[in-house]
Order: sequence, then structure tokens, then C-alpha cells
Amino acid sequence: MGAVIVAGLVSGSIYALIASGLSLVWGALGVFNFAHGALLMVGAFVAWWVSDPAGLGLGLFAGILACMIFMVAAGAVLYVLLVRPWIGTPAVELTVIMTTVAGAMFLENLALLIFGARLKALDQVVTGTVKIAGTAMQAQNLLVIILAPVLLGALALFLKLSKHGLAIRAIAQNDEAARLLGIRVEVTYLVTFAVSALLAGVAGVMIGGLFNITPSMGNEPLLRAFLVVVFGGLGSLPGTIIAAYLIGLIEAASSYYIGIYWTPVALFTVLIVILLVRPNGLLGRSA
Amino acid sequence: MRLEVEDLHSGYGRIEVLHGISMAVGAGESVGLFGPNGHGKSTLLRTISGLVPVREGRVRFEGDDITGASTDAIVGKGLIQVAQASTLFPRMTVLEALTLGAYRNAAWSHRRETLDKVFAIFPRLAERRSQHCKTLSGGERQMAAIGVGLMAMPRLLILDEPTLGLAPKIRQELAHQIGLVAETGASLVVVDQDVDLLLGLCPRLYLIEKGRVALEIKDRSQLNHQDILQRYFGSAA
Ligand SMILES: Nc1ncnc2c1ncn2[C@@H]1O[C@H](COP(=O)(O)OP(=O)(O)OP(=O)(O)O)[C@@H](O)[C@H]1O
Ligand SMILES: [Mg+2]
Repeated sequence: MGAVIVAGLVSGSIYALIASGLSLVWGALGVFNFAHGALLMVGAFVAWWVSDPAGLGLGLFAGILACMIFMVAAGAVLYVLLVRPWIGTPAVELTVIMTTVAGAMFLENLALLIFGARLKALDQVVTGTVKIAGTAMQAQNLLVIILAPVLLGALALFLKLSKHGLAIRAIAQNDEAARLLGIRVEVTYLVTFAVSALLAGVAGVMIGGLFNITPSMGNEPLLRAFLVVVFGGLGSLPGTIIAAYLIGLIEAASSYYIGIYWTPVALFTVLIVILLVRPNGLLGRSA
Repeated sequence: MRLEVEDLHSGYGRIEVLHGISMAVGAGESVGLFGPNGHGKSTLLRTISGLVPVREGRVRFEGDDITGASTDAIVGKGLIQVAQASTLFPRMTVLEALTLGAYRNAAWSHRRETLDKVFAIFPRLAERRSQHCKTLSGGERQMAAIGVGLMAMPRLLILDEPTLGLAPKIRQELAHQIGLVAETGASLVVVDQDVDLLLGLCPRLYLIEKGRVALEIKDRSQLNHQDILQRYFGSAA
């Protein structure tokens, strides 16, 4: 039981970080970024390359720091190349699906070309096991469980208190009123992508420390993040976060009690039933 | 002159809405605009703020040519507009929306003092500060919208139909509050259907008709405003 909850909270934490970035971009721009999983992978590789002796060998903290800086830039570049040219065109939602899917494939192949297919892993930030309420867990797991809410809290504060955070929400809610306050929509979109990529990078580092780093490591998490965003209610950050933890816990429970092969079926069944009752997701707004 | 508009033409797509409008607003002056529905008042104001492109003519603000400038550059100079029927930011609290009002650089560091001033003019906003904008009543929403505009520390504040759809009592209250705004030293441009209300606020009015200035009223004794009411609104109220 304890192990199931730990596993559920760890996946929930990672899903929450990935999905909140996706949700942020959806809320502000109304597009889905299909390269979000690839960004996560890029973040993990950057952290690995900077930290690992097979790369620069500068140690884990330098790796994580480099990853975070790189991701902010990567998010901005991705926006400028794959999204900005189509802002304001009639089919922007669909076009951006194409451009970001293409971007994801490009990044995946690029990573394969540079780093090869061999599995890599990041060092653990903390090692050993800890025991809480009779449940033993890896210290790294505990770190993820603690760190995710801290980061999500920081994101919430950024969106509630800072100028750029408020601007992101304003543009999502009333584009013209936002412009009339002098908000530069283009700059705010860029900031949104940078923040979103940063969250993806952190998730990539977490996955890289718990599992493996491969060019395709972002695909599964991206799919889960989509489920989370839809399930939580499009554009609602609290909904996204609640949904992430719920899905993490449902998955963990179902792999334990039903088995890993039937877990996706169980998960989708639960989601479909809930979406029948609440078509806009947990905290979604009716259109 | 704080704002000078010279022979302004603009419109949407193939349709030209403004056919050469000229008007001016002095420092600290309040100017009213009125005219029939759909004759280009909002288009004029949206063009001044850079939301609709200028096709011909000039716009100058405090001597600087702002023709063709981006909205954020125009706002950056202190030319602030509260749009007609703005729903503000539905899922933000009143306080968040007001805070965001101070987005432009010159206003951001003064946002605490400005907030006190806004609350002094609109005490109801202080009471409603943690309420979401979408749950405000029509009158409260207008107050919030004007408050958000004030937070930007405007040199010129444009209010596009601030009393639209409001009951007479709340219109009076808003008119009084807009008067207080005028006392802050900002120049004002106010659009309203109610010529009496405008005359109470603004010494000078422009009548906008078919995308042109049909009449400039410099002195209220200059005309019998019953005439205007009859001519343009079909009522002698
Ligand atoms: N976004 C737009 N696209 C196309 N035409 C528009 C647009 N906005 C306004 N118009 C048209 O421009 C003309 C002028 O409209 P505008 O809103 O400027 O009038 P107004 O004087 O502000 O009217 P009201 O008193 O009803 O607010 C109208 O014919 C209107 O249909
Ligand atoms: Mg109008």
C-alpha cells in the first residue's frame, strides 16, 4: 500500500510538472505543443552531457543548472521557429500541431545522432533509502515528491504576483484588454514558452535520475500529460495539477492490483467515464 | 496639446469607417464624443490606440508622432484606453486586474500609491478586491475597468461608453467618479450617448457622424442640445 502511494506520488509529481507547462501554453496561446516531450528529453540530455564524465564531467549541479538555462532558451527558440510564424492565421491550432510534431521528430533524431541509442542515466541527487510511516523509499523519490509541489507553488506565485505571470493570464483571458495595458503579446508568448520548457527540463532531469535517458524518453510522458491536461480541464492549472496526481495514483494502484498490461485500459476507462459526467474535465470551464 | 488627430482615415478590410477626422485634446482637458451608433466613435479611439491601423492622417501625443506605433508603445507613453464594454479579465480578482493595470514601466513601481488613489475614488473596488471580475455587477465592472486604466497612471485616459447599459442611479455615481478622475490631472476623452452627462463632465464635445466630425461644441450655451437629441437620437428626453 505504502509503495503504491509512493509510486503514484512520484509519477503524479512528474506528470504535474510536464502537464502544467503544456497547460500554460494552451491557456495563453490556444495551441498544443507536441514538442513538449522532446523538450523534456533535450533537458535530460543537456544535464547528462554537462554532468557526466563521458561528457563535460562538471558534476550534477552544474548539469542541472545548465539544463535550466538551456531550456529557457530552447523554449524561446522553439516558439520563434515553430509557433510565432503562424500566430493569427486561421488554422493556427492545426498548423502548430504539424510544426511541433516535426520539431519533436527532428530533436529526437538529432539526439540519436549525437548521443546514440545507448541508455544513459543521471546520477541521483540524493542516494540511499528513507523510511516514512513504515514505508521504505529511495531518497530520490522523496526528493521528487517534495520538489514538485515546491516548483508548482513557485509557478502559482509567478502567475499570481509577477508582472509577466499576470500578463500570461491576462492574454489568455482578454487579449485586447491586455494589449490596451501595454502588454506585448509576442513577448509574453515567448515567456510562456520559456517557462513551459523550463518545467519540462526539470521533469526530464527527474526522469533521468529515476529511469533512463533515451531520445524517445519524452513520448510516453507527453501522452500522459495530454491526458492530464484534458482530464483536468483545458486551461485550468489547478485542475491540471489535481488530475496529474490522480492519474499517477490510479496508474500506480492499477499496476499493482490489476497488472501493468491492463493499466492503460483501466486508466482510459476511468477517464472516459469521468469525462462523460464532466465533459469539460475536473475543473474545466464550459465553453 | 496632449492629443492631436489630423485628417484620420481608417477602417476594416475594404470598408473605410473614418473619412478624415481631426480633433485635439489639451493638457488636463476633458473632451466628450457622442454620435449615433455605428458611426465610428470606437473605431476612432481604437485607431488612436493603435489597435486599428491608420490609413491616412496623423496622430500626435504630447508632440510625438505616434501614427502607426504599436499599442504597447502608445500605452508606454501614457495614452490609456478603457475599451467599450470591456469584460476585463474574467478569472482574475479585482486586485490582480488592478495590479496588472500598472503594467507599463512608468507605473509599475508606483502601483501601491496608485492603488490607494483608485480605492479613494472607487471605494467599492476596495470592498470587492478579492472577487473575480466575472462576478462583478455591470456598474462595478465599469468601475474596475476605469480603475485598471487609472493604475497605468494615464496622461490621457480614454473611456469608451463607461455608462453603457447602466441604470440612471449608477450612471450618476460613475459620472461623479469620472469627474474625480479628471481632477487627477489626466486629460480625458469620454464617449457617451447621454449628452447631458457629457456636458456635465466636458466643456468641449465633438459630434461624430458618418466617420466625420459633424460638429464641435465649444460652449454649451452655443446650442440647444434638445436639438441634437432630436436630430440624432430621435428623442427629446
Ligand atoms: N472589427 C470590425 N470589423 C469590421 N467592421 C467593424 C469592426 N468594428 C466595427 N466595425 C464597423 O465599423 C463601423 C463603426 O463602428 P464603431 O464601433 O466605431 O461605431 P461606434 O460609433 O463606436 O458605435 P456604438 O455607439 O454602437 O459603440 C460600424 O459599421 C461597424 O459595423
Ligand atoms: Mg462604440
